[in-house]
Amino acid sequence: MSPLDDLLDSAGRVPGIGPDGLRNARTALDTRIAVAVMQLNATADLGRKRASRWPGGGLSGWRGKALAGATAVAAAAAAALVTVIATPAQHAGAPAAVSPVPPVARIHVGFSAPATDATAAQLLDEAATAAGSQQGWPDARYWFAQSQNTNLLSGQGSYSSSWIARDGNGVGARAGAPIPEQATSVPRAKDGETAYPVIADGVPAFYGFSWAQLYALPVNDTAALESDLMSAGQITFGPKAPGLSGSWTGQEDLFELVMNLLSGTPASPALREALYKVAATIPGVTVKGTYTDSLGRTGTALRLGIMTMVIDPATGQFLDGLWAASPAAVNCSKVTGWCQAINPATGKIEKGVMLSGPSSTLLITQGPAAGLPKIAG
Amino acid sequence: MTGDSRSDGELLAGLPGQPELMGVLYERHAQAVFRYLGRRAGPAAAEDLLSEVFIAALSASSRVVAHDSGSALPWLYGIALNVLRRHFRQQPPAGGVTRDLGMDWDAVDDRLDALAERGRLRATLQDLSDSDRELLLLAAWENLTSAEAAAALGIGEVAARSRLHRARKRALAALQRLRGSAPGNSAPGNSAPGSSARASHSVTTTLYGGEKAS
Repeated sequence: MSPLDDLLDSAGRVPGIGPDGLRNARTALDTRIAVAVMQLNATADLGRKRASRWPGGGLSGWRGKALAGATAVAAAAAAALVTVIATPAQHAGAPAAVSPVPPVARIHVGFSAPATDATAAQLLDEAATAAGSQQGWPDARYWFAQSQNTNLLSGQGSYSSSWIARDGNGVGARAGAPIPEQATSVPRAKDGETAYPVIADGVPAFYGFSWAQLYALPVNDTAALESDLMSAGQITFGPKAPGLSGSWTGQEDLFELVMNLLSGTPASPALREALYKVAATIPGVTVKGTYTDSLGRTGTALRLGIMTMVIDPATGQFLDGLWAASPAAVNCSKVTGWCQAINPATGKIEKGVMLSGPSSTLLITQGPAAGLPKIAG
Repeated sequence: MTGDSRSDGELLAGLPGQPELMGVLYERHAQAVFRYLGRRAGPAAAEDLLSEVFIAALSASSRVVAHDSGSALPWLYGIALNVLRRHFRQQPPAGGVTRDLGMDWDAVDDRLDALAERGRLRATLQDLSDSDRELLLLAAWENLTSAEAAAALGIGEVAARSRLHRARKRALAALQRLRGSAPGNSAPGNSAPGSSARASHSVTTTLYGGEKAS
């Protein structure tokens, strides 16, 4: 070898990449591959979905929903959580048709008398036990969540799916088509879905917590967990804006954070058990009754302030979260639309109280996913 | 994925309709692309940039034709070079030192542990044009043939062969001059041990800044 080759040889010796680095880069690549695959599919399709039809976008719609009852400050904070890049998949001039979704009018969405006389704390403890104590999915590659977004007034709606990777980036897909197969292991995107990359932008993806942080929470110490949640809540929601949420208390913040973490995050069964236990310690939670959602599912509605958590205590499953637009609205038996009710803060009858936003976002399914969606056909 | 028996050429041909084939190419070539990046930008930047190369390849894949040699690597190295140049452009300028858009010389020097060697490769290659240098390094570091290196850089094969030959001769002459005029560690030796490698670069630039055609 010449001296030049010797020099080049010694200057060119570099180590290879380790398994973690190799896997991380692969995950980032897979996200883009999935987007490319779904864009191809969308291009082949009519391209009838305009990404802009879904304001807020987001991981699964839950975040946007939380905003309905949250403060303007919280809205700004949550908006910063996720940047959604809409894909220009639609063809110019193509009609922006909305696929039919089964109308929800035939289902009476709302509350009926509670099927039990157990207290809220007892029901939450029951849910905690049912949630289990397994360690969960600390090493899963993606968290898959699917939800139904329905305009309760028009009956029209869409379905959204998201696959969020460990680093908070991921793929979201929306469609007006009927509910896809409810499988978490092999999520399957259907024709007509519009895919978009979800960019975490360096902000922990799950309501202020990263995947790893969720698994670092103290699940065996309710008081410590409550303390961690409260400090995280300060970061997530920021200082409360006056007026909009005058009735909020620290306990309501805690209740809301528990609801958020139970929905659409990779929280382990052990953490879910602990979250229900924390909720059971919150004073003032009442049993509102049995709630029927727009899919016809029933669950037990537990209420604190303007927030209602719908759960199945027997299985520990979290079904829905409802945010009322005003403290007065919590006295109505309807869930949406307008009603007349006494505002507990003022003691006066208020007309035209919007109970919640006209849209509903139901969590249909969630779970760990090994990979990104494969396209049928 | 690693067990996929299709050739790189078949995978490249299928990419426009099947973006997921990029995953197979990744499993096959990620280590080589990582080393390419690592040699030029250091291991930390290489880890950051690895996925960018394959993602960029994904959006460029509709235009790809398989190389005659059957390897996708020349194409991937060409993309990696563009990713590197963008990366270096985004770096804050180092005080007074002209940025090199193809190479982090500090990262190179970090691998040349003998003090005498620090700055030497840069001094040896500094008379080469950017593309001649890259041609030489693709051959020496990535073991590409001149035809493959030509494909990576988008130049003709015949031109690549003669340019590679001239580049080697010129680099070798520069190295011999460097050793002759600065025996031992005196080339960077004007700097005390521990001083920055960039300082030694400016010394060698002064010494060997002129045209050194062989």
